[in-house]
Amino acid sequence: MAGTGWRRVFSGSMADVAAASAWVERIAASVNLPGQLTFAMQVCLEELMSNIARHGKVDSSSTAFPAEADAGKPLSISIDIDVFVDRIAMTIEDNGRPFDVEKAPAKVVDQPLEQVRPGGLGVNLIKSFSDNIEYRRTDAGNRVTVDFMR
Amino acid sequence: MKLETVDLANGVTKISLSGRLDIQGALKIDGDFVAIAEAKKNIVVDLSEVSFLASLGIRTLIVGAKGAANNGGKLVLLNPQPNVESVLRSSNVDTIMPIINDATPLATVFGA
Repeated sequence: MAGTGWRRVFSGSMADVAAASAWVERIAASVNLPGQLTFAMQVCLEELMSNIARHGKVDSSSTAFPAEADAGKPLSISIDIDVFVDRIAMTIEDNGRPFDVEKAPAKVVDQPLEQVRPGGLGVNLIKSFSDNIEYRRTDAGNRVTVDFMR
Repeated sequence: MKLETVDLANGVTKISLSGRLDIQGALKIDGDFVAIAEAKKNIVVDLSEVSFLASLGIRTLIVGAKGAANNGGKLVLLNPQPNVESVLRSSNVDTIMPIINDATPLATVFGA
């Protein structure tokens, strides 16, 4: 069944991570999504975008991805929000380094405070707050679709 | 994102946070929060006015908790909103930072 869709392109700046979250909140309000669902979408968006912003940049001097056509180019993150009767699909595409969030380990705090290493909890939040996640490496970069059941 | 500090009785410091503890919010308060936590011993972090929490915000809280623990103290989280609490519990953060509410006597939390 066809849904209603929105699309917008953001940079990898910190300001744009916040701008994208505010954009998602306005869409959610316009279609009367419950607050809990909006919150879940914002958690996943925040984790995916901040990960791209912090780790996605392809350094032009890097030899790790010598064939990377976008080396040195600024990050571009496009977001599609598709609202269906039974679910919301949020698709995030970027031109950054490969990162398969679907296969990445969902780390949680599992050690005493003295031993726990701060950070790295984002993938678990994405998996905990969404109902399905699919990753695909594309010619342009990464494509992640996260589903939320209504 | 705002941060306010007040010293309570029995050597307990209350840090009240308000706003969104997202990547921008975490970057804004991280330095001050960690500095306070490393200077104090027993800390209550009031989360009642925090409307959003993501992993970088959790990172800031964990670094602060480690600072308090290094001083022989403890950091606890007070009154998180339901959505924020679900982020904390789904990350198992409550296993290293107790989540308390207004009804919880601080004397039992800190043994003061």
